[in-house]
Amino acid sequence: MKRFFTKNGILLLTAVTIVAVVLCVVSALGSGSGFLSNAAGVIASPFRSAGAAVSGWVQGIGDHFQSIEDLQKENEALRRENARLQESIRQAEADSEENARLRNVLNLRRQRRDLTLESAHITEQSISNWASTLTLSKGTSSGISIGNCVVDEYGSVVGIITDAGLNWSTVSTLLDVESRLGATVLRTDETAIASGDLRLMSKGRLRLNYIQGGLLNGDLIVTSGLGGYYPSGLVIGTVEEVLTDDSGMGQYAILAPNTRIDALAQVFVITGFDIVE
Amino acid sequence: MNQRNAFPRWLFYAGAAILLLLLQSLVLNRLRIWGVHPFLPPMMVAVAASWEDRQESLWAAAVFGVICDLTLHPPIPCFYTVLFTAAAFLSGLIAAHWIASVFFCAAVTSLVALLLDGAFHILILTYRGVSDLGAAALILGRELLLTLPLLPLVYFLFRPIHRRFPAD
Repeated sequence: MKRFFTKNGILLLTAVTIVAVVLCVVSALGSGSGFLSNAAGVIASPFRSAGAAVSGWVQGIGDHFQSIEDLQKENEALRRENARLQESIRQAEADSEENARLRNVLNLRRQRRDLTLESAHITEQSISNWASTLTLSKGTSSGISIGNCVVDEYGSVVGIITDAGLNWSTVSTLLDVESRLGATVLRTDETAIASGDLRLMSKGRLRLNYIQGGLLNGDLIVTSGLGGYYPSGLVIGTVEEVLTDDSGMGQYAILAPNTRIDALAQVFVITGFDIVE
Repeated sequence: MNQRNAFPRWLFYAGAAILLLLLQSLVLNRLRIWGVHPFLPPMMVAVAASWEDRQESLWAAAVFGVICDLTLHPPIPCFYTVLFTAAAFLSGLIAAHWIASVFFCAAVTSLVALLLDGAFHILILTYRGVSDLGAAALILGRELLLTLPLLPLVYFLFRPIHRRFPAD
């Protein structure tokens, strides 16, 4: 009996492994989501939505009991920031008018940013500690496709669509070890690469690589838009710390993303864009 | 082996697994300590496989793995199917040949299943060019520290099913 079990157990394990390898190869050769995965996603969608609703309700109760003192502090900080932003807006309005006049004089095309957005609810946060992904309530039937950029309600980058089915899609967030985005330091226009890091993922941070120096704590990092895959000017995060890498030759920065990925309930997928700089 | 009990037994296990998955997604996923949260599924497979019929456990683990693969977005296709089948296989071997005490056996098989999960993830990350083994070991260690204390929860939820629908 033992021999029978051992034989059968190994047979089943071997069969499962072979099927896994074959599916890996098929998945690597093909593009998009497989039929089985797509179908399972479609079937699981209502359950994920129900789960998200219950989860949102539980979170709502938790938020209700958030300390009043914390809220007062946050309110005070927001008031200060609001005053600073009001001042910046007044200056920006004057600059915009001047910019428009100068563009007219030089006969340049008018600057514009047309983004086609598709709103979606988050139905599942990643269950594993080894990746940072979100499952969305919309998919290819809403025009979402692999490679689309996902932002929150403030226009900050959340991640990139890495898998899409009929009525669901998966986002690899900025923090995921496999995420890579072309970035620009807003203050200096220096380009770099923002990427997820296994060591920083659990801390909710990411890395900014290939920087030339001259970076300051608090510098705002936005998407570069180079290559035309993603729109430019979307906020990735702010520089928290500038460090020297292991070789001692180069520097990298630790970024705090502008969006709180674990607190998101709704996001917007950029399904198309037309930007004139 | 009492085949008559097999269907209700695994049906109840499925119900208990759904309860634990709900707990995972509604509570444990938000319980981040050191940036990591407990991860129950490998432990669920290991505990059931440590005392149930080995062949049934293997099939149940494979089916559970397929369901997780289709719904949880694994890093590669069939990730959880292979992981859970291997975990059930090892748990069966450990229970049959090395450890007699039921609870201690469940603890050891859970540890093995979680280590296997971490090893699989590290292998995939290494293949994809992420070679920070120190960071990976840190995540694995933290996951073990947070998940293993939840063993009694899985153990005492599954044990009445095992007793109510015995295999022998």
